[in-house]
Amino acid sequence: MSITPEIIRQIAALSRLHLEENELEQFREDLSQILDWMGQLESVDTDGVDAFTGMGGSLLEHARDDSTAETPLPDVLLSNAPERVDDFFTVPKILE
Amino acid sequence: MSEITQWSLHRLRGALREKEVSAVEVARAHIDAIGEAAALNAVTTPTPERAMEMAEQSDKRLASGEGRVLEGIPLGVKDMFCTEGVASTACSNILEGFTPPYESDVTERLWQAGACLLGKLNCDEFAMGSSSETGSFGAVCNPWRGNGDAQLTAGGSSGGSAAAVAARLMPAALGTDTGGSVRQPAALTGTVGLKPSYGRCSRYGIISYASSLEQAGILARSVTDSAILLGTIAGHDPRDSTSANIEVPDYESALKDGVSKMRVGIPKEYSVDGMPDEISNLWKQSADWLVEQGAEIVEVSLPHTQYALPAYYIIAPAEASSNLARYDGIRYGKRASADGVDELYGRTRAEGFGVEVKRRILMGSYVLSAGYYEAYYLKAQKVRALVAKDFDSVFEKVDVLLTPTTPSAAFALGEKSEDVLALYLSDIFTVPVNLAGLPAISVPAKLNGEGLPLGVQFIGRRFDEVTLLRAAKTVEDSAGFDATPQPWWTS
Repeated sequence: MSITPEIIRQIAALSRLHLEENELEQFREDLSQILDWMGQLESVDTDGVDAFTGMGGSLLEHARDDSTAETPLPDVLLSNAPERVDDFFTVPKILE
Repeated sequence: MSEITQWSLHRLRGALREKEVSAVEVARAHIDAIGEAAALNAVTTPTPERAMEMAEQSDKRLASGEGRVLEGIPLGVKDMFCTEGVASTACSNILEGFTPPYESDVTERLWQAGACLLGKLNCDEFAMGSSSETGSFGAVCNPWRGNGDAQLTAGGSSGGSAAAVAARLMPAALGTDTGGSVRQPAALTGTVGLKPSYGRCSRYGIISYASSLEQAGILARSVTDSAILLGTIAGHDPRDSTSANIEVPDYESALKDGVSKMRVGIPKEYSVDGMPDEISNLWKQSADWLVEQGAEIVEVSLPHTQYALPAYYIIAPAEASSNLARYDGIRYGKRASADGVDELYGRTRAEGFGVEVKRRILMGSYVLSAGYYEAYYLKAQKVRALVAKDFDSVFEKVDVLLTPTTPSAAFALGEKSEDVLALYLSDIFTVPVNLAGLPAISVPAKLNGEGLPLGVQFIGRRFDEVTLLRAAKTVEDSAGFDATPQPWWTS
């Protein structure tokens, strides 16, 4: 399975990863090689097999009590923010 | 080098309780050992002040007869665990400077049992790797060099934890195991590596990589020490809905029973082409040791074994691409300078992630994207179901499985870093366990011709760590592995 330059650009965009041209080419080659190797899965007969979806147990088993709990103070939550204004995270302007 | 650092966790615990040594003396000896071992690059963030404070508290408790299970035992934890007030980076530039405002569940259990934190331990970036070379702190160096003088990998991704335990910088450490990241480094460093069943321990506060595969694990110098630590870190946590609300047995006392009448399966598919004689001979020798102690050996088949690795390298990157979407440069960690928000995301992630992490994010986005989902991700999840079913079938006939842990002894640093697939293949015997959520352990059993340690692996039924530990203890006792690496790093 060979990945085209268009596809690698598209998945880099989906991944929110800025890549330079030389990186795009290197990853294109890497992924093509790995996908070739993964092609061996095609030979496994999976007709009628249900895909694995989890380690079992019902969802209700894991439901917690419907009760309130204290959440950390904004100062704690914001303590690692690279940029903040008052009690808010900041992002670049998104509207002109 | 202080004699104290040679003691096992079990021996230290006894000595502390008998007041043969103080917790402060124990902490000091290990802090000094870490200070002399910079060449191993096992520790990312040493926490000597915290260790000494905790040790002083432990001495007070020991003096008043209020010592807890791990009172005064100094430990290190892989930098994948969030530790309150101590930098936790997943060895990634994107989490540079991140200081968690909360503690992971398993580490909280350690401190509540009286253990002291010596420091955070090096690993592959976001635990993605098998050689502990991809992290932002640089490569971990194996304390073992064998008969040569080349620098060898300590395995990965928990290579810092394994190297630190092997080099006597600490009696035991925590790692994480997503595809073998505790067991493979254990095998390459002559330590014991235990991966509990999925759900046995809480994942709350572990920096997520592949949520359906990963579990906290233990690196220690004996099976008994692993059992003691498992008893401390296991248990239900309402903050992790995948942690199991089931009883935690007394693992340490369960070790007293041996393997009499135990049925041990040897899966024929683990005998792969090109496996070195030293590995197959050790595997056979381990089976003989178990028979001598009353176990019965049964040849079994796990027909989908060869497909586990490609399925894993679809599923793990898929989960990684989703888990790592949270690193956006806004709420924590690194932030690149950029004009718009899209550019902020793209450049922050480009500057913050290393090559292997980018490769896996791209692979994950690809196998989950429209048009490829069914051919790759869905197919891999079906294969995963078949791998798990293979194990279910054999565990109707046997109590535990015996396999090699790795296809080779430690390899040279850099040897496989250019060949992605060759590195992935070093997890060939460990990955199936994670796909099925089973517990497994690697036990060191001998040195090979080059003077490097080799390990064997036991795989158990889900939540049956007791049987696993008994089998491992039997091989440990029979093998009598007591070799230690020459401390070249202190010179």
